[in-house]
Amino acid sequence: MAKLYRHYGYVVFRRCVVYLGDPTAAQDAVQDVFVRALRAASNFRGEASPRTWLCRIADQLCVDLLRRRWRNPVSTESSRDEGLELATEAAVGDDDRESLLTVRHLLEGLDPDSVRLAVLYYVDELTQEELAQELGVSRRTIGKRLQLLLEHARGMLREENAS
Amino acid sequence: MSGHLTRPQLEDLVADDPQARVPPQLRVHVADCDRCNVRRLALESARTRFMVAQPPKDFARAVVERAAIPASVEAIPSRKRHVLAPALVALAIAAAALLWLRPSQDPTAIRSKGGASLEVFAQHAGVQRALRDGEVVAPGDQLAFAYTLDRPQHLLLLGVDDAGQITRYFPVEAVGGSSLAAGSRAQLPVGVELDARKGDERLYALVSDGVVDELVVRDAVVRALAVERAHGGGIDSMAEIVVPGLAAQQTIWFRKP
Repeated sequence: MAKLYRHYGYVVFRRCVVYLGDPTAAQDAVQDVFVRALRAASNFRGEASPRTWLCRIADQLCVDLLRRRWRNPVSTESSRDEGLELATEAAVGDDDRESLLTVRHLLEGLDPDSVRLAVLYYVDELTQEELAQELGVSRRTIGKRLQLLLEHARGMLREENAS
Repeated sequence: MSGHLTRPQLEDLVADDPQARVPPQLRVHVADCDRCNVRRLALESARTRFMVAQPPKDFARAVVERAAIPASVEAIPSRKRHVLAPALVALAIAAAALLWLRPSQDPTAIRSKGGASLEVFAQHAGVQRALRDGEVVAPGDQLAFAYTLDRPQHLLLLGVDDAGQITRYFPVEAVGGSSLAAGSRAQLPVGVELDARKGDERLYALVSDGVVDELVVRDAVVRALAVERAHGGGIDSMAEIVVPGLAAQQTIWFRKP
């Protein structure tokens, strides 16, 4: 377990930060991910890489957490906490910080399934074909959902420019 | 190779895990590419800082300790539910048809010789009925359950909705573990009050002689839903799930338009 964590702990942590936008919640999530991985270790047959396996567990866990938040939203004031944003910025690391923070910003206000799609597309850089396979939907559906994501991003930009 | 490394490729490279089987050409590219090399160094540096702050030894100990606790006793937030009065089930038992739990399809499973059964009841506007596959329910409706077991066994009752969210209904920490005594038409000590979410939901009642790992069950349910969706189906067409250690299972779905 310590070895797996040494190899992939930070990767999982950073992914959870992008999903949750909160380094403290992400640290808890990392532990949950490895607990799930340990319990399901006998199911891991090495068909995917350990990173892919752990990232899938992290995705499922974070989407579950986001669904709970989605149904019990926190106030706008606390969700735009400046300290939290700074901590998030520090947590994603130096490489690609700007692009990861842009993705994180884009995810604000999105439903959990769209968040997962955005992470797979923008963070994992999966193609539309790979997304369709991963999410079990048609490529046409993926195209439509990515279009909606783009419109969401444009809407956010318009709002920011207006303010 | 054509472009720069993707983020996952870079992460695999920095992870330095022999199991990750990083293609040699990626290493060659990074050695020759300033941009990728700068990203690699930055990622390595961030990873090192993280490991100092969260040492693997402490982390592994905490994970192993937590993993030793059965998943079923860990708190998993769920849909609004409450314990219903026993009279709710007793009123309808005479009119209800039993849903017999089918023996598990898993060839290694322990068979339930005498059979196990579960009855699901829905109460709407004070009127109660036995719930059947595909029936419509409404927000605020209350569900109750009665079971028959010929020997002490464990029951896990889960629901999955069409958003893919899984909710455990039984066991509930407040009323004890998953173990149930043998008995005929005993009321499950938990009821469910349905919330305002719309859509389809499928319940899985899983009986076993030992405690099954809830996370393995959840994974099986997620996979079953994904398979259905890949074939154009959904909650209504999901099949039984295969989980090691199950003696019997029953599944039923309902609609909340």
